[in-house]
Amino acid sequence: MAADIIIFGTIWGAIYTILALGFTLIFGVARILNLAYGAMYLVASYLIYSLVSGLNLAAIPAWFIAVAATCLVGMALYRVFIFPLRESLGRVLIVTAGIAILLQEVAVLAYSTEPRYVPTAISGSFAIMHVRVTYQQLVTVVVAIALVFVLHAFLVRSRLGRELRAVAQDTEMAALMGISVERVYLSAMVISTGLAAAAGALVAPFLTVSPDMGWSPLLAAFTIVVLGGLGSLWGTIIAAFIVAYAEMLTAFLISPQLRDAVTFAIMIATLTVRPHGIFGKGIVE
Amino acid sequence: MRRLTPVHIGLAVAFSGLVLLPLWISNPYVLSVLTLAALYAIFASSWDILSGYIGQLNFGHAVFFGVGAYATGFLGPHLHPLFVLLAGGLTAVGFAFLVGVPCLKLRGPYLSLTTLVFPLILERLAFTFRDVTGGEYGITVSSPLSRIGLYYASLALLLATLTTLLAIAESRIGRTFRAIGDDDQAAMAAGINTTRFKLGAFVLGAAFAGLGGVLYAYHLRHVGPETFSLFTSFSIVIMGIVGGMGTIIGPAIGAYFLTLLGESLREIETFRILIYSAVLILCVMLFPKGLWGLGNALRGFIRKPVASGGPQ
Repeated sequence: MAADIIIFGTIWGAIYTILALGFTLIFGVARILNLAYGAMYLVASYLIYSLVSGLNLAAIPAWFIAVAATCLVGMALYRVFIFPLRESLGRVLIVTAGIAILLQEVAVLAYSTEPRYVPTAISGSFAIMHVRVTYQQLVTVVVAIALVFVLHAFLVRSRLGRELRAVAQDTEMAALMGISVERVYLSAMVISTGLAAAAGALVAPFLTVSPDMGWSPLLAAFTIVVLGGLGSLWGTIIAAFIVAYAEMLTAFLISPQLRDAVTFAIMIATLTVRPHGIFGKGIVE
Repeated sequence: MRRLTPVHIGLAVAFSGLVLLPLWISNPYVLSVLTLAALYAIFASSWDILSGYIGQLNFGHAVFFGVGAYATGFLGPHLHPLFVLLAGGLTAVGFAFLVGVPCLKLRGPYLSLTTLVFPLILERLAFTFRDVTGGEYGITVSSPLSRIGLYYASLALLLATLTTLLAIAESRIGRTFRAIGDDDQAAMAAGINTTRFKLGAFVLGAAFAGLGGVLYAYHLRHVGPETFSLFTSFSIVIMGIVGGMGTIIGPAIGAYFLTLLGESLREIETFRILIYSAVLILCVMLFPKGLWGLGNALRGFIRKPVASGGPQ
């Protein structure tokens, strides 16, 4: 039992880290709370399912195609719906919620509410402390860690990464320095969508794919960002693991159905008691 | 006495029509849809006080009518219906404090997402503690009223909700709500106890939603965890925005409009949700003031040539 909690907590901590990093990126840079973020995770999962089960594509190319296609969806979403409403945080919130529901229902129409299974890229499993871990889950953790390193290097070293951070710190000053803020926003949206899609593609093989799967990751990502604070990589990672372990504790000790409920409770408790997150650099102004 | 405005006259005409309607239409299905529309109108207009006037979008109004409905499920067999109604309203008010107090310091998206997760927590709890709540099957409710009785009860509660909320909205309290919505810092600086008013808006909205929740359970003859689902809460938000926030009547019109539109296209449940979300997106992009604003704009457009020529 304890071993289960530690191992699955670690796997989910890794997934939540990339989910939360994507969510905090678009929020930190462009001040956009994208409620359709979870829907991008959903879109990527169904694309993988269609590519692998429908077109008999191998898992690895399907993975890349699905993530790339979802990034395009994110870009279109930004251009068509978010960009015209950018000035109002509330209207962006509402329109992205509407899009999330719309995409969920499109998934219901296209695939029914029946859960779908995505075959794994690498089958087989091994045991740690008598807990069966599939190679797919191991790959998920390794890829998630690699993505964190890549993202960090990108933000620190690349030109676009520096521009992203500059805009996040002070949009007006960044604009005065000749940075095209609009291009930076669009890049943030695409990278953010890519991270959600990557997370969706990574977990699809060991979860079932269903139309309502987007909301839990969205709310978990929001909780982690609230808890860990904005713009802090370590804060996000630690918060992601706190949420993941809390979820697994609840799932194994009380009931798997209450897994989300504990995350929601953490969100409410953090916003009420420590609105600036555990590390002080909070998102609530 | 307050003077009669076109709003009151329109309200009187609309209600006379709805009261007389069963004389012509006796189809039980139509009656049931109209009852549901009246109940949604109660939820949407009670949602409007906090969301439209104070400007804090509540994404979890389902908590309030959901607990009203569950109170009916638990107490219905043991109490007189009027006491059940009272219990539903009071339970919702209790939850208004539970949700409202953590939300007092929050605003904008933080308040929206906090209110969003409250019903979801209750939904998960209802699924988990199945020996109390009946799990996914919920609780069967037997209605003390006939179909037609329930139709009139819903209309009466809707009328009470609309007139009470309109009276409050047009009073000093309503202006204070608007002031807080426009700029809560300025309102605070002007000596307004914004905390008390925000909590008051939660309680006021919840009370009417809780009463409506009792009738909702009687109408559906059932209460289950889906009452707390994400889509139930979002439906109310969608009705409010599509109807026109900050007008009390607008959200009620939105509720009727969407319920009837959804029912007329109801071959599959999912089409209804699809249409709701599409209408929402369209509305936010093109008519942010909703049907109410659209109506006003049209009226202004028609009157313009006269008004600009005549003495003002």
